[in-house]
Amino acid sequence: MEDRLIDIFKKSNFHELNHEEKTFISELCSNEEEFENVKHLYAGMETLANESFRMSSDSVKTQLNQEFQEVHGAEGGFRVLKFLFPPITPIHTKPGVQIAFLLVFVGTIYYSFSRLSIDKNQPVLFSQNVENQDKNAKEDNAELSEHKTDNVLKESSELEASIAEIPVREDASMESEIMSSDLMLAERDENVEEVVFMDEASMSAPAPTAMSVSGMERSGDNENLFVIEPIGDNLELLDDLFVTF
Amino acid sequence: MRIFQKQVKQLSDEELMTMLSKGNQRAFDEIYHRYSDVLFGYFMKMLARDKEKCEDMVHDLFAKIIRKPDYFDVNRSFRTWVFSVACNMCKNEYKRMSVRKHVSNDFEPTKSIHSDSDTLKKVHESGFSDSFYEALNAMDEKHKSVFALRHFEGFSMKEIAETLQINEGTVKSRLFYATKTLANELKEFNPIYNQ
Repeated sequence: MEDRLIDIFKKSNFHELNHEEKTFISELCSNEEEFENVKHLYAGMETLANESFRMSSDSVKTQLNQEFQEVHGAEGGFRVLKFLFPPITPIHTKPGVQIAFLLVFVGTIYYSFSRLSIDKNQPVLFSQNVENQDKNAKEDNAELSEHKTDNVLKESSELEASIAEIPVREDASMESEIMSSDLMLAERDENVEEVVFMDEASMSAPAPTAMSVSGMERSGDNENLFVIEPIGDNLELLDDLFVTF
Repeated sequence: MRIFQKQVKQLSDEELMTMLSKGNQRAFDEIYHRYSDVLFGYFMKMLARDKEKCEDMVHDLFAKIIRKPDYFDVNRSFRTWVFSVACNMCKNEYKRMSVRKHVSNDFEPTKSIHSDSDTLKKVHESGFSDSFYEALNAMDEKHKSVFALRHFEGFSMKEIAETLQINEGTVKSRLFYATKTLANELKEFNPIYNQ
């Protein structure tokens, strides 16, 4: 259909067309002016048809050959190599180069971390140190506690001794007071001089300690130490203690 | 070797594509030999004769053939398939060009007005060829591609319909519209009116 249309435009003028041909071309042109325009267009296009375009540069074909080799060229083991280092792509997009950079990066990080003195034995040593520290601390504490207990015992014994001295003295003073009061009472009696002598002797003598007191209480071996003779032997002394009005 | 070359030259495009997909370099060479200049001419006519751009387009098209030969259906005509790919590439290029044009219009609104008047002047001054391609490129893509395939590549209506995946009636109406438009645009070169 199209070929026939072109033939009509090439070979004839608008006035030479019959009714059928005019009907056939009516979609394209309805009057002489439009017919002439289309006819001129087709004539001009014939000259353009002779115009041929050729690709002058071989660079396109060379690049395409490289791409073809990249996709299809490699065989066997070389296919992996071609995949890692394709010939056409830029160097930073080659998978092999990217993998190499990744390995270097990972290696650098590993090396830098190893240089940061993160030692695997460190936690063990630390735990050991903690244990040793605990042991040392326990030993120190034990020594300290022993030392403290010794000191405490010493201090407590000293304190006990001092405490024991104090009531004895108080007892002694109390007794002396009692005795003095007794003596005052006994002044009226005839045996005052003896009692005073005994009182002075007891005052001048060192105060008996708690031990001595306890010892005195327990054993009757050192009966000579007693300033005042036991009452059991001399019941008469009791008479001196109680004042009878 | 010569026997093999003869055999390759005698093979159809579709058979060559089958061999190409299996990595046959000679099949690719033959396909390139048959279509590189044709496609380059098509791009030159469709893209305002920008030689470097057209060479890049040819390269991209053959690179697609190399990398994705499976996209081609062997039961289909290679010629219509490769031109449909070329048409789609032209469409994408037109979109890019229109974006650039809009961008340039945003920055230089007066320049586009001047360019229109310059175009009219050039139509008067230049020859038929330049005016023809200028008018052709001024048309929208769907009319231009139908006209180019019919008159430059010699495609039949059926082949155009297959290439552009439209029905034959649409091809016919688009072809008539493009012919009338171009004829009207180029009537100044008609010697009848110049006399």
